[in-house]
Amino acid sequence: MERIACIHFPQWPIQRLIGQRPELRFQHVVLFHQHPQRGQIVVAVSPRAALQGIRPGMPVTEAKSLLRRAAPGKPVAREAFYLLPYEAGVDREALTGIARQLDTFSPLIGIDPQEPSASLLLDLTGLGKLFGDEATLLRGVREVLQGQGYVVEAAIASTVGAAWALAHYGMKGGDGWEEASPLIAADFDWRTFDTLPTTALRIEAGVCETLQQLGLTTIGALRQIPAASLTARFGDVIARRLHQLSGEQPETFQAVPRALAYHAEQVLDFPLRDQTTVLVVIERLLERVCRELQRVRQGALAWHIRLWRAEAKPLPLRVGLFQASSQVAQIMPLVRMQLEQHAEFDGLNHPIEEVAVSAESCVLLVERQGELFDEQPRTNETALGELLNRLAIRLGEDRVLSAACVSGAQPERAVEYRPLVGPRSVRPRRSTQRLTGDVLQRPARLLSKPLELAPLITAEHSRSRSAVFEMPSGFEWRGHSFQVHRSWGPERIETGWWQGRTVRRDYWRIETTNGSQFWIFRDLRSRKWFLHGGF
Amino acid sequence: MITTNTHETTNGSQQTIALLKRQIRQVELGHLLQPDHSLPRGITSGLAAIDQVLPERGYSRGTLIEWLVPGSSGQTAGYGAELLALQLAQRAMQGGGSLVVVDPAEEFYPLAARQLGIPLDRIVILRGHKLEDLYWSIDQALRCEAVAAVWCAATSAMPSFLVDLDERWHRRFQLSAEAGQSFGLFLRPDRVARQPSWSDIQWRVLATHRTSQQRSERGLTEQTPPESTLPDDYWARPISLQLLKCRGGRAGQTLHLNFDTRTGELRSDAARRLESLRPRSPAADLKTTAFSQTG
Repeated sequence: MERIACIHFPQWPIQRLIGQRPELRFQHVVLFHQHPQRGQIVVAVSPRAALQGIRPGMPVTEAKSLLRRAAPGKPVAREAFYLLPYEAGVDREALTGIARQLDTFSPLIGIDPQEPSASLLLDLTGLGKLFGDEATLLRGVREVLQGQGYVVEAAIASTVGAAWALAHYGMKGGDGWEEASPLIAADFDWRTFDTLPTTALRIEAGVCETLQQLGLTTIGALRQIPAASLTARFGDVIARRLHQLSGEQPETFQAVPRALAYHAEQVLDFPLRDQTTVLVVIERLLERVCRELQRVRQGALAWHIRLWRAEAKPLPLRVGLFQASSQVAQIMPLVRMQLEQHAEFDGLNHPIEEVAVSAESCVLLVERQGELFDEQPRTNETALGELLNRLAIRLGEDRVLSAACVSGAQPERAVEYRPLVGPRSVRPRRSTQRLTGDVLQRPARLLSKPLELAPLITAEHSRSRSAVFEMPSGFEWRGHSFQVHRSWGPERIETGWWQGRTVRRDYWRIETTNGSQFWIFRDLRSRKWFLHGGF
Repeated sequence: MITTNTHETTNGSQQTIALLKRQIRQVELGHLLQPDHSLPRGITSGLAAIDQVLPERGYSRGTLIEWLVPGSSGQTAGYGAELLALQLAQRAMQGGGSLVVVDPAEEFYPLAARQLGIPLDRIVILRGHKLEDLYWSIDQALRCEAVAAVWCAATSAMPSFLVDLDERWHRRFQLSAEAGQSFGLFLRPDRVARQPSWSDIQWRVLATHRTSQQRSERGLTEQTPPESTLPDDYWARPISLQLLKCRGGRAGQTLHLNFDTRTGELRSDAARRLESLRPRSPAADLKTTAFSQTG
């Protein structure tokens, strides 16, 4: 008998977005897409936005009016709301990444073909016993996903249709943001599914609406209608889905291709406490993996080492590289550095029982002949790569960054920082942009959060200048008072509504009487002045 | 596709090759390396007035350079030292190499560096919260031959960074810069001037004082007139520097400069130079307090 698990991520586009941008967690977030006939339509909403009555399928204009209506006189007025485009491709790609992480639980994992994709399907046939039972296996899957902050609903059944229906409609989780205990259906029983709504059959929304108008709201009600009548009215879709649900008609899913990973592991004859011996084992396993990679002329950007310990959780190590490599001599020093940072490895209170090494993000290497005399030391990419690898081990991969310009007027959002090391790394493009205009267009130091200025307005100033643009004649910052001597500007910066709360600022470069120069702006909404940087 | 150099050599043969390279280069460029040759061995600052006070008519590779900025709070922004350091980094990078920016406060704004001609793809930004990690990173970067310069600035967000700099770390930076032939560019508050320093060159950025008369002459610009009618003064950013320390250089010299915001070039401010030569009354000196501390 087949055993299929369905892992459903409720409100997946929102979950994925919040995972990537945690600052949106408690904000009003509305995702929309461009419908060819209806214009901009809401696709997904965050729980906070849903409280304002915004629902998927609603026009964006209506959603905006609901947000504004909720605003006057309430705290929500001061909170930001974000209207962002729905990115189906990114959502699907993120699901693919999760599917690959779960390959320790099942060799066949696919993405639910329903649009928008929000579920994974795992073929667990014959695998339950390997983990004790199916419940333990499913608990393991949920722990991995919950550890990454995802909310999931899971079910196991004997068909794809049954697992999907239970995961999506069999839970008691309320609005979909509360976790429910997983459902495991041992054998197929119509009684389990008769009470579920017709939408649990994975049929088009239009067909479901028609069925509801006809009073057929549940699968049980639908089954009372002769199959011939349903086929005559709706085609074979309903009959097919019912047969797939019960298993009378087989249903398959397309598995996500497994990422090419090179792996070697060794179960030790007796537990090891000696660090040197453990390092020797790691080195030998690295040599084995590197040989495999060299055979296919590949190198890996990420290396994972797992030390299984007696009576303790495994010790995971990760080494990310700037340049893909299959040289033990390059990887082993980084492994040693990584281990030195683990206090748990220092004492080895728990002896090591098993060591596993795997290489990920493998890419084809291009060999280049080394140059004897003409190589410029400063353009030595190998030396730079080795430096960045070491820095990433010590500081962390997300703290060794490159900067890239992105489109956006708001200064805080005009630069994107990307990791330089590891599988998420992005190699910066060679920039050929030339200088244009004032060199001091932007300050060298930008405060991550603009600082509201306490203006010092003199009587003379208020008579002569306030009528023009109300720039303060001086301000206080970090216990010092500064008097404005001259200024350049304004440069107006405005952002679009689709980037969240609209920003409207007038920026000025000012020189103070002691010669220092700052970048200040007046927020055109609040009419307050802020310090944003120094030149 | 990732390019990699798989040319493997043992340590011994690498050293031999490095030695041969040096010897061949010395034979080829021997005449340029003569001490009495007129060409500058360092990197020019872009301004003859600065080059003249430095021992090798410019900044030598493998050195640490400090700009000490007024203020006691550890914040060094606003006095133009960032511009001077970035401008030097840009010149250092002309021979190749990357600029490593150590930025614990996440305040460095790369677009300013790009405006000065530094390509963003050659900037590596390092962040961190532990002082030891940051100093270790500076040391490693200075030692790397693929790094042209390391730029870091004191910040009030991490008050001890570059302010309470341990002498041993400072010495290690100097040795690493020498080994990697890179520049260490440090922006620190001027209260560290009393501390012992392993930096090769120490500049003090002087706070200037604008009188009310000057203010009325220049005035606040309410409506910017057409660009062609603007005087040069409009585009000038005045910066005054005092050379506090320089091995073999003219320490004690004060330079009045103008940073041209149109071109990014430095110029001598002849008018202020003359003004500084005039005798001044003690009362006038008292008035030139850069800022008053109220906190």
